[in-house]
Amino acid sequence: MQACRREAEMLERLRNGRPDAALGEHAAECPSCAEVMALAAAVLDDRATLMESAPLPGSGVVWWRTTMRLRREAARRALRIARLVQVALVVAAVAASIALLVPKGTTIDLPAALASIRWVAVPIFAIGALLIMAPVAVYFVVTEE
Amino acid sequence: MDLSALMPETTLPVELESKTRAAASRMDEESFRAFYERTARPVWAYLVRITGEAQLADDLLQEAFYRFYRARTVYESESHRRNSLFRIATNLAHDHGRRRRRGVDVPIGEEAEAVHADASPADRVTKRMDLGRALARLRPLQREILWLAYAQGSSHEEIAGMVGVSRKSIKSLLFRARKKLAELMEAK
Repeated sequence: MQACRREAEMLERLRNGRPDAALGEHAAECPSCAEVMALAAAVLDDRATLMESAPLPGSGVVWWRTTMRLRREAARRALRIARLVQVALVVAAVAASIALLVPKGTTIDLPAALASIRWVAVPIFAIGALLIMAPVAVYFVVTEE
Repeated sequence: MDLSALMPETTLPVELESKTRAAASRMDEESFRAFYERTARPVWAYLVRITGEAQLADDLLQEAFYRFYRARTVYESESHRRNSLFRIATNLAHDHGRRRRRGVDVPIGEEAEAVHADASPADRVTKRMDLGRALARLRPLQREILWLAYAQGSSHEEIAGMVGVSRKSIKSLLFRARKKLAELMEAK
């Protein structure tokens, strides 16, 4: 069976109501158009029934969910940036402290320096982690609520 | 059968088209909700038929509207806007299909019928179930093209943009899909 040139016209008429008499007569003699007509009518009927029975949430609910989700995403992005800034600030503070505390011209023996701060490293790290993580934890608790 | 009730809303009056164009630059709550009211049902019906699952269609519809709004694209017309939404919905269905193929395979075509079977007279339900099963046996691309052409009344160019294939190949793909669907419907 070859495609018929009048199939597009047939579809257009079907979508806008029903084919006129001339097109109906043509469909009776043209197997291709008859097939298009039968399938398109079934699909259009199916679509109409599905649309009628669609259990959709109201537009207000969808709008609210959409905007809330966008806000959450924006907050998450801002938090990521804030976290990076915090880390950068801590690194800068440590670097500045070292620069201020170590006299000019002094060379630092890194292994020896690390060994000397070994006993205070854990509490410093814990305090640093607390400073960084506390705002993050508070944020998540608040947003979950 | 009088098919006037089945007519899809593919075009808008000129006045509404121009109003939509004016509001296109920034979609506020009112225009978003109006757009949702106009398009959610056809998109949901499309998603049900291309995924075969009403529940999944619910989720994908919500996601499609979210992504559509997040994109904040300016559209020339209501039809461009609508086509974009269908393209997003199609991509989401594709993504879901890819994820599913990597995981557990769930048969399609039954759940949607179970949800809606009680809404129609018996013969219509039977016909729709036959159509649903036949569509479920087509390849995803065939289902999408057939639905967009016959149910949505989209042009070949629009379909090409929505499903991501060249415009030239749509005609032959649609013809083959139609033949396959007719075979399946006859063989039921």
